[in-house]
Amino acid sequence: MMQQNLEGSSCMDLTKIKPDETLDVRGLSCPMPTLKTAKAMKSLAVGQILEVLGTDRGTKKDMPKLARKSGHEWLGSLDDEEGFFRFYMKKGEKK
Amino acid sequence: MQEVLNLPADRWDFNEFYSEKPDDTDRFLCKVLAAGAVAIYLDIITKSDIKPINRKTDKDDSADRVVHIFNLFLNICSDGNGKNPAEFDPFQYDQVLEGLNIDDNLRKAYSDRALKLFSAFKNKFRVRDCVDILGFDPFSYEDYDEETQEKIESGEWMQKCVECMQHIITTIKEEN
Repeated sequence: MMQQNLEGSSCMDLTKIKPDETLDVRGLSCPMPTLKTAKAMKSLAVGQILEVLGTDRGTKKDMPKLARKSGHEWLGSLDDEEGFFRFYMKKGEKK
Repeated sequence: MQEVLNLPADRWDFNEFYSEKPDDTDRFLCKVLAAGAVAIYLDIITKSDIKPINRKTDKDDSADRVVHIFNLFLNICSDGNGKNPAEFDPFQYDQVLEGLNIDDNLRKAYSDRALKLFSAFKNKFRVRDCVDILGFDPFSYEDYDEETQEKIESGEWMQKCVECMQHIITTIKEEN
């Protein structure tokens, strides 16, 4: 798996992350992955990690932006060998 | 759109189409509208006798080239930069055509058709930015109150997206 830490994310080893929740938005395109991720983040407690599985390449740029705008910590993304992406975001304090 | 304009699937691969929204603004152009303009551009160069000197194989015409022009279009014409979409010159940004003298008639053909597309869209919907069409900013979901979030989740905005797609396809079909 290829790791990509974009836009000021931390440099942790994403393959070792144990997410608290996983959201599958594979097959969906904008704005659905963004909306479903934002909704899923709402239900997490501060410090918990969401893993999102997606296939839309545009989402690679949308996820860090969503984290930045919503006050969450963007951890990075992985290109899965099976042809989809894994995104990791940590719930931040409410803005 | 590929079918409406008879854009050869082996040359232009719309299946790999994806957008990268501009970083400097939340007010980006409706992507279907941008895709319509790019489809018009591809139609013009497909029918022209331009022989790209940088083109090594048919693969050079595929996804990367289309995505590159499409995303430049979004970046240059969205409100953070504000360029009028009808003034966007795709020939200028098409790397495969670099170094070629482009016939002014081709530029005019694109400009005329793009202007018609944008005018028809603006006349029908009155707005052209995604956030205005949807009625909310997807990146600000958590900032909205519960009532607005429920309204977003009801998905009624999807109908608007479909209307935009239908309008663009119909407009392109009629002018073709």
